[in-house]
Amino acid sequence: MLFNSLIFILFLPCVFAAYWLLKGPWRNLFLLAASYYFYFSYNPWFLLLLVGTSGLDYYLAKLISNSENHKARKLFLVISLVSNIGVLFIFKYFIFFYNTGITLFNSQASLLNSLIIPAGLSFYTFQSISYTIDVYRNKYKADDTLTDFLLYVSFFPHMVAGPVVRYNSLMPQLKIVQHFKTINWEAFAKLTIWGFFKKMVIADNLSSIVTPVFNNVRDYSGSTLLLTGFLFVVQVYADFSGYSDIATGVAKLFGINLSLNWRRPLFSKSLHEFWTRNHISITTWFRDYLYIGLGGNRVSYNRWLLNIFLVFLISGLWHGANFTFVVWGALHGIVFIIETIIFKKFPNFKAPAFLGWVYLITFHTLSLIAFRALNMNDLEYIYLKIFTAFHPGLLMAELAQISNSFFLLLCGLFILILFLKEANEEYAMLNRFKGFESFYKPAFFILVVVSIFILGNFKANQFIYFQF
Amino acid sequence: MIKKGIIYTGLVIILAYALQWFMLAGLRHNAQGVYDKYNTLFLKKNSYNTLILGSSRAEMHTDVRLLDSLTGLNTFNAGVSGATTRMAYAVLKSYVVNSKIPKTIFLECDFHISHLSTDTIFNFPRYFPYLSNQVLYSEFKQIDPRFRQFKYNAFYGLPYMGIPCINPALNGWLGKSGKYDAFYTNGFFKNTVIDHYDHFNTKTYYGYISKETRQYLDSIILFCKTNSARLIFTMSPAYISAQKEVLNKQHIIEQYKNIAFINHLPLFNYSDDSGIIYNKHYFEDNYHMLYEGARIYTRKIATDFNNIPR
Repeated sequence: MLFNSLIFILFLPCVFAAYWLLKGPWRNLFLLAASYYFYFSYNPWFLLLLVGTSGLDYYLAKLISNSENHKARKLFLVISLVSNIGVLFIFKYFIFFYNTGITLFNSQASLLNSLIIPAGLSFYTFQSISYTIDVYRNKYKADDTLTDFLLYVSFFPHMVAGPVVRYNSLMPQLKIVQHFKTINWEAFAKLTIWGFFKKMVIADNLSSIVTPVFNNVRDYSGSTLLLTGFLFVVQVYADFSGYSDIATGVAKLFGINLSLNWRRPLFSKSLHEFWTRNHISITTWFRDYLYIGLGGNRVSYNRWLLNIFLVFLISGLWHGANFTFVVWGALHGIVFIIETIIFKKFPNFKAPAFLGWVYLITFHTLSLIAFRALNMNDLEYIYLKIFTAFHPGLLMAELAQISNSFFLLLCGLFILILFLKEANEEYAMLNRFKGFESFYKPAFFILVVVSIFILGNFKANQFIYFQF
Repeated sequence: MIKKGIIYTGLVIILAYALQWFMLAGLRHNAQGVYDKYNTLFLKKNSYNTLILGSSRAEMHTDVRLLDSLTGLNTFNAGVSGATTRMAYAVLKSYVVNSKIPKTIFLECDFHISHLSTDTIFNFPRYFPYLSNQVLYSEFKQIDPRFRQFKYNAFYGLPYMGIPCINPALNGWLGKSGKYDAFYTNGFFKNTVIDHYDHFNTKTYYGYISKETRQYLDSIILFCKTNSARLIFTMSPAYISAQKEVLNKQHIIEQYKNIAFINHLPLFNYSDDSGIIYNKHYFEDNYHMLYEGARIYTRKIATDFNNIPR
């Protein structure tokens, strides 16, 4: 069930109405059933996996919490990690490593086809992992109620593509009895409307330019490939942050505040800043459970830099079992380390804001091309074309082959609207005019609603991050 | 908060309906191209004495100007993309709401899709501007019940119109023409589209004339008899690879011949015309001829028409 599908538009009001009609203790049980139905609609068999892994984590966390023996606690944690990472490995990486091994060693065995990855697998396993590690680290006691814990893992707005919510942020909200009057309707409306606009108008329309180019990279010059790379930057951001916005907005209908996941990352002026604004919930997860687990910065200088590189490499691999993702992670790791060295050597160094922004966008575009390329051959070809056969003169003619000029103009307009709205939030430009604000904000959102109906792509495209 | 919500929702509804009106009126304002063709078919008063009915094959294969110059007829090409026989009948009935009943009707019989039944209308948003034609609306509503929503619910219809309709709507208001508008003459589409894709793939199957096709063929025949219009069956050429696609093609054609014979109707069968079907340059794909092929075919049916005893 996709947020941008008709079935969800029927599902949500039903769940909302039933939730608020039920008495306190029954609400979470109902929400759990609704969340499982939401997941069941993707693939019924994978619901068993979700229930199995989260149920196991609940009992293991209880054992960790109740045990005084350090070795036993560690053993239970290892079992939890192995089960979660094992499931991730089987579904996401086994075939990748198996096929790579066969290719490397020239084995006669036949290559395997890829498996279907359960939607949102890494999101809910990451939540479970964070919970058991935190219990192990004595951050909090294990939960007493199985159903509450299962709901924490599977709460439908964020289950499939995040944000990855921490136990101590979501569980207190699930434990208290919510009051209907506390629903923040304005936030719900703004977040969902803007989220749908970003997904259906911006991301899905840009996809119709990006997809044909990346599917046939050999037909295009370096300039078109670079521009399409930039369009993909906007597409991914609009798609994923759009999902997060809708998830956060929908959660508000149940009185739940999900954590902020995106803080206008495309306005960053360095890679360091970018990673404090981009996909915050997953970035902080990698920081807290991988980077710190590796020793963080409390190790030798070289080991510290290696830790940074490893975290990016693993986060690249987390996105998918393909060498292109490894290249993406490695590029980010290398540039992040270079920035770290510069900032450490020149603590007062500050590049002009505009130059910093151009640098970030250029690097982000070039690296995200690795993220989007279908395979290493395509990636090599794209980089070669960008740096050796740029041919800006061919750009317009090649774009005309992909789409008509009116559609390209519209896509330009969508990007402009996105950047202007975010610039307004970043620099509080229009907010200075107090009287004006009460007019333009409603007017803007009314226009956005109507434009979703006419400009939106209603072919219910999957959200990009479901596959991760 | 509730008051605000009601006001904003009201404004959204008003804006959506205003936008829908703007789009539909813009499309109706087109003086060229496919929307002008549909304007002529469903809203304007016409006095053409001949009508070409059928699918995109009729639309692209019968050059009405050429036909008129060779036969002295005054023809409009009412072929519409994706039309089944049922849709062709709906188009005919909708046409005569505002226009004079034509004296002659050429009906393109598509042997390769005669087994299909009509569950929806191909490219249906194109018809939204013309739903004020009550016959068109009621016929299409029977085929696809969503047409009730398309007519009255802006929130349901707008997403289907989407971006592809904005440009022609603006063109309509601004009096400009679109990329393919000039390719239309009296409903005939001059097909000069040549791309690098291979559209000549084949997939063999057994065809037949479905109950629905037969029922609406009879309806068209009855309409023509009742209104003293001369009905002519035509079968335009299909590329050689398409000849092998429908494994029992000859059997289906025989059935059409039989229907024509029983009803005393002429049938101009050029579906396997050896002068055309072997030449790939005449075709865009298996079933659609390019302009050059269309002209040769039009000449042939014009000659046949002139040879019919009056």
